[in-house]
Amino acid sequence: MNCENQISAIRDELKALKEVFARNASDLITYTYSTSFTFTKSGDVVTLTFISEDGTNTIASVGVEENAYCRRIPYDGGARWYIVPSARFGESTPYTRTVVVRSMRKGRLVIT
Amino acid sequence: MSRNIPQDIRKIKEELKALKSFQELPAGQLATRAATATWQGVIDNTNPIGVYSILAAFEMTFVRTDGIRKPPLVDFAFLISPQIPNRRNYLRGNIVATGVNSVTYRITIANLVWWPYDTSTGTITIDGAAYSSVPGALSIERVFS
Repeated sequence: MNCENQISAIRDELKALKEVFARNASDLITYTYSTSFTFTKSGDVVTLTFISEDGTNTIASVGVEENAYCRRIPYDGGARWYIVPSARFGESTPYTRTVVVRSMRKGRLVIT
Repeated sequence: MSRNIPQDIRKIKEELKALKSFQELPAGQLATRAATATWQGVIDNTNPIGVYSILAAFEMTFVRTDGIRKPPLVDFAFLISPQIPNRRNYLRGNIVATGVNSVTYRITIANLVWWPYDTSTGTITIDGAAYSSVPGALSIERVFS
């Protein structure tokens, strides 16, 4: 095979690689889920679990309305967070908050 | 048309190299098993309670092991036991640094509660995990007391 043919073959391989990467990169489009929960008493902690459709772990971001924050804890099969009221004093309980999760995997949210 | 074959080959190799260094992007290859690390030891709680200060701090570092010198996409998680009763917002965690092939996550425990044992000292265990699209190793160390 001469040089021209070698280059041509490499280019074909690159083109195929690019197509694969482009297809995989589209997986970066995240899936968005939302749910609500209620803090029922002072010092309450809510556990939010994202269960992946395919049972694998996921990289995900989570956001919650004011006066609460989320912390991820180890979990196999998706992702899990504690949702904690951030204010020590103030708002009377119970109060309801909405949480939004953006995940690289399809799945569903469970509040416990 | 005359061509500069060595130049063409060099360009193609550069493009291939760039593609390989971009391989962290395929989320389809997201690691299904987390990299984990554990720290266990004694922490002291000798400062007055109620004034915000840091009781203890730890850093988890995820280092990618695929040889590519780019900070990896990674999500951190941790669990401390015994767990703080109620108000677990005494625990904070956030990314504090990125290296050529690593990301560091800092955990802080605020000095706002008698914990872990309603006494001034006690043994705690931190179980850390890192979820990444690339293979890697996780380590954890105490950085402040």
